[in-house]
Amino acid sequence: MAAPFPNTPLNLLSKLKHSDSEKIWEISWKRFLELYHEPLKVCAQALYRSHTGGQIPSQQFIEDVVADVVAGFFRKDGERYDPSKGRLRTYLRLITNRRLIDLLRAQMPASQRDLDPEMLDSLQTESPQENDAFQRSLLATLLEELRSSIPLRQFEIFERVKLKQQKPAYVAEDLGLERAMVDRYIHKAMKKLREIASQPEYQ
Amino acid sequence: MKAIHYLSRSEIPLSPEEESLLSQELASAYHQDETSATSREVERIAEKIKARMTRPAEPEPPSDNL
Repeated sequence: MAAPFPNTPLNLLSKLKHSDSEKIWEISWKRFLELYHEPLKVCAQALYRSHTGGQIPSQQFIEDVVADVVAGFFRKDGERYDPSKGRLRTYLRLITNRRLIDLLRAQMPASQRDLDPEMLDSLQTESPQENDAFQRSLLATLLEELRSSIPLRQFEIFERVKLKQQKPAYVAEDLGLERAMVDRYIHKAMKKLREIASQPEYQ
Repeated sequence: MKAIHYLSRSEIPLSPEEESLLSQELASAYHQDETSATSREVERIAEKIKARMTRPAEPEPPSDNL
């Protein structure tokens, strides 16, 4: 059973999202897409099945939903997330539901497009698959934060041993370092990762 | 998925099994992110997003108030 899920971190997203530079906007939505496309996709698939009595959506339909969600989130004239109103994760699920219903409605004959308004804001309980997908994206975001928080060499060693699962002795020999140095770098990186994960934005 | 819980838990040291699980989940998240960077699915979605970002915003229907 998964532990209670912490709030989605806003540091990375907020810093990128509130910059005025066009280039930063370009980078931020692409990076957000890479980090969060999977949980958005899983959420959209679950909501589709819920609204259609169990039907399986096409890949194109789900990709359109994800694109609508991300574009709406990052367009300068688009809807804005207000942290005071709740968690980012809940907000993303809500707008995924709304965009999905918009697309479902567009596929229906005109006479059938009046849907129950409660459908727009009623979300089914998050499935374990959605929770796992969001957890992985959150971990990836934490690693992104770590990469920019520690020296490059320290991250490289941490990456090779903890993320790429290379043997510490091999990494030490490859980089011409003492094994003890590699262990120290990893220890420091893990300590920093724990510090980042303990910040209020991640709780 | 318990990685976030293990990372946030600073008082009690992790057992070898918990350390192993944490490493596995970190590696899994890392590889998913690496795959996303070159994923054709992500590329397709990115093209759709670009098209949506540049077209004029459509008026929101009344029921879409947030």
